[in-house]
Amino acid sequence: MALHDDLIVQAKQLANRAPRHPRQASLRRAISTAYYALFHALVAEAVLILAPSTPSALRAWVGRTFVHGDMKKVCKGVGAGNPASVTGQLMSRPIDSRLAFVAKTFVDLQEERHKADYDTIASFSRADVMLKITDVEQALASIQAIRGNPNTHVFLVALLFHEIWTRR
Amino acid sequence: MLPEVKLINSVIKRHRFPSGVKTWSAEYGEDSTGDPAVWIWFHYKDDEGASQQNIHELSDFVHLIRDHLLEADIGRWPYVGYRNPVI
Repeated sequence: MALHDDLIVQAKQLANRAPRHPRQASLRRAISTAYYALFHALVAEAVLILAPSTPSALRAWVGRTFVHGDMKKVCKGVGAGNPASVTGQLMSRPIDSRLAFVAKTFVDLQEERHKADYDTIASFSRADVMLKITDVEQALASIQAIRGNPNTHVFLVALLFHEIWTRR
Repeated sequence: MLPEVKLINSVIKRHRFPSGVKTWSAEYGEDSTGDPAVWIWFHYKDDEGASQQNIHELSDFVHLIRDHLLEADIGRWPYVGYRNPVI
C-alpha cells in the first residue's frame, strides 16, 4: 500500500474516534494526516515523470525538494482556472474539472492543516473534517483518472518548477 | 459595505443552505502564504454525526459556493467550510 493510502486510512480512523464527542486533538491530527496523504500522492506522481527509477534513491531525493508554499501557489492558479507564467502558457484550456478539483483541494487542505497544527483558537467540527477527508479521497481518485494528460504533466512539473519559471 | 463583501453576500444568498445549516460568517485576512483570503464558515450542528447522505449534500454545497466565489473573482481565495455553531 502506498504511503498516501495508509495516511488516508489513518485520517479516517482519527476522525471517527468517539463520533459523538470527538476530541479536537483527533480532528486536528485527522486534517493534518489527510493533507499529507494528498501532498505525498502529488509528489509521488510528479517524481515519476521528473526522475528516472535508478538509482533507487533518486526519486526520493527529488521528492524532498518540493516546497509546500510553492505548490500551493501553483494550485491556486490552476484551481481558479488562470495559471500564471510558464504554467499558464503550457496548459491548454479549458482545464479539466478533475485537475482543478485536485488543485483546489490541495489549497484548502494545506490551509486547514496550518490551522489544525498552529491555530489553537480554531474549533473543528467532525462533519467538516469528514468532508475534507472525502475531498482528499476524491482528489486521489482524480489524480489517477487524469494521469498521462498533457495538462496533468504540466501541473505536476510546475509543482516543483513554477517559482523558478516565475523568476526568469 | 465594501464591494467585495457585497459580492460575497450576493453569491452566498443565491444558494439554499443544506439542512442543519442556519447561519454563516465570514473572516477576512491573509492565509498562511500571505495572500488575501476569506473564510466562509457555515455553522452546522452535527451532534448525531453526519450521515453519508448528509456528507454528500454538505460537500456539494461548499464546492458550489467556492466555485461561484472563484468565478465571481472576489480578489481573495475563498476557503469554505463548516464549523460548530457559536453557543
